[in-house]
Amino acid sequence: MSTRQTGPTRLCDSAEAGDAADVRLARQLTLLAGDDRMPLLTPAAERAPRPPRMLMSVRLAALLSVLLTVGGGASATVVLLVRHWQRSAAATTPDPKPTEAPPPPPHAHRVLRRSGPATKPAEAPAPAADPAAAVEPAPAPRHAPARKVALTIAPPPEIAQEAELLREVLLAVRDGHDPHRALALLDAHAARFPLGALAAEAAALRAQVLLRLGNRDAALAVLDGLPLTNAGGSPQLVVTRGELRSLAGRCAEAVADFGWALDASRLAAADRGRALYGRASCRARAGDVAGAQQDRELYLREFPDGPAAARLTRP
Amino acid sequence: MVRPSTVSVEAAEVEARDAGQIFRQHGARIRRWASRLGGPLVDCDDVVQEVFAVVHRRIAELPPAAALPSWLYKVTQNIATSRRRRERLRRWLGGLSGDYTDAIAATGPSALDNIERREAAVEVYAALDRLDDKYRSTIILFEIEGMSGEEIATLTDTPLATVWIRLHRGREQFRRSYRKALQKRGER
Repeated sequence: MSTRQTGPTRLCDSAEAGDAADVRLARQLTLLAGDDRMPLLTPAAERAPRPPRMLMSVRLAALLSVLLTVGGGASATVVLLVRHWQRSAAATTPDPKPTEAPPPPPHAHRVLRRSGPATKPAEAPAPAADPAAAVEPAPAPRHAPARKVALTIAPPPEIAQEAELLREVLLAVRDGHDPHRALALLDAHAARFPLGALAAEAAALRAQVLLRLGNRDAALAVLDGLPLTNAGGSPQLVVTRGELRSLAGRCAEAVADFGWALDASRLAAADRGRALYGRASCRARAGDVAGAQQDRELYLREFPDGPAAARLTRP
Repeated sequence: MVRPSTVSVEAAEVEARDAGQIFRQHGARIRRWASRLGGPLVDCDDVVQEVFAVVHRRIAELPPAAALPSWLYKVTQNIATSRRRRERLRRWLGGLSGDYTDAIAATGPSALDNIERREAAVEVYAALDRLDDKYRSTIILFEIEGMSGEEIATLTDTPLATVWIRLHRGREQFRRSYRKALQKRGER
């Protein structure tokens, strides 16, 4: 990425002159420019609910029809369409319900779901009296087609309610762009689940919502109370806390945070750049010239075109 | 006299070393191009792998070093574009939204920043994907990759004036499309 600027001003630098949409676009372009790797949406799309089979069939049929009609194969199109619809009609036949299977025990957290037509094997074992046996997959018949078996963990109801509430918080920030409502929801969460299993996640969310509202001191107070550097902590949040501590003049603690995040294996490239730059800046302010120089060189080697490269190369 | 087997081994070593050098020199840049040109629906690692498969296949006919980045960019752009189109067709056949703006998924309760990045990628690329490829790639290189007009002209082997025209026209369409998508989402 070049820092040289010729021609028109970039959209991310000209937001002040525009309206809310321009400001939003400028912010998003800046975010994307800072990320070397685009967030990949394909896995999320795969997780999306399966579309109706009929819709897939119609679209596939339309495509085939266009292709084959163009090639002069109209009659073949009709045959293919009929066959495809027959197949999809057979595939969408509802599964016969297993009548003998006992209901799963109420505390069983492992639930097995099967997709595809449920052809019950002729010699299936009788339902076991042991509840644990009810969740084991039945042995597939020797020549039956392989079935896709998905294993999901059903959480206890209270965690599910907590997660739902936190999901509403995310939606309030993301879709509603309403951090105030998100804070109200987080207050409701704290009142309802004071010792909830997701209390740490809620606190982390609160810190990020407060940051979005521009309340750095309150965000730092929340992050200070979180055991972020324990096993499983988010390195990204630790970098954020380091930056807030650095801004608050708490350089020694900030250096410790940046150091922890840099040693963490799950740190994204953009956050690694932030941590290196933050540590260089803190070390320089604390008088650790050699350490600051080391971080500066590391940053410039790893991120020669990074957002802070221009500031670090300035004489 | 050199035995034929030795020649082929040496040739293979030369080829491997050259491809390795190219990867070391240009790998990061190609991954970035792949990620930005492909957008949020294309796995950039797959594109990089395919680009280097082409490099291996055409190692004997690669252009000279000065023209290599431009050649690699064209290959990357072709592969990323083809994969993007294939993915859009797959989504269309699957009944999923064509502009994939419904695909912003919450990845975890403490991932607000990730969501913001995903949201940015989805909204910006939904608008970019409505543009003609020549406008789309010029805007990506200028606005996201941060290249100057001269650099874009060299990389894409296009006159500088053409780059400015594409940028000017493309940005008008891009902003219009972005605003329209934003209004549409606001109405939902």
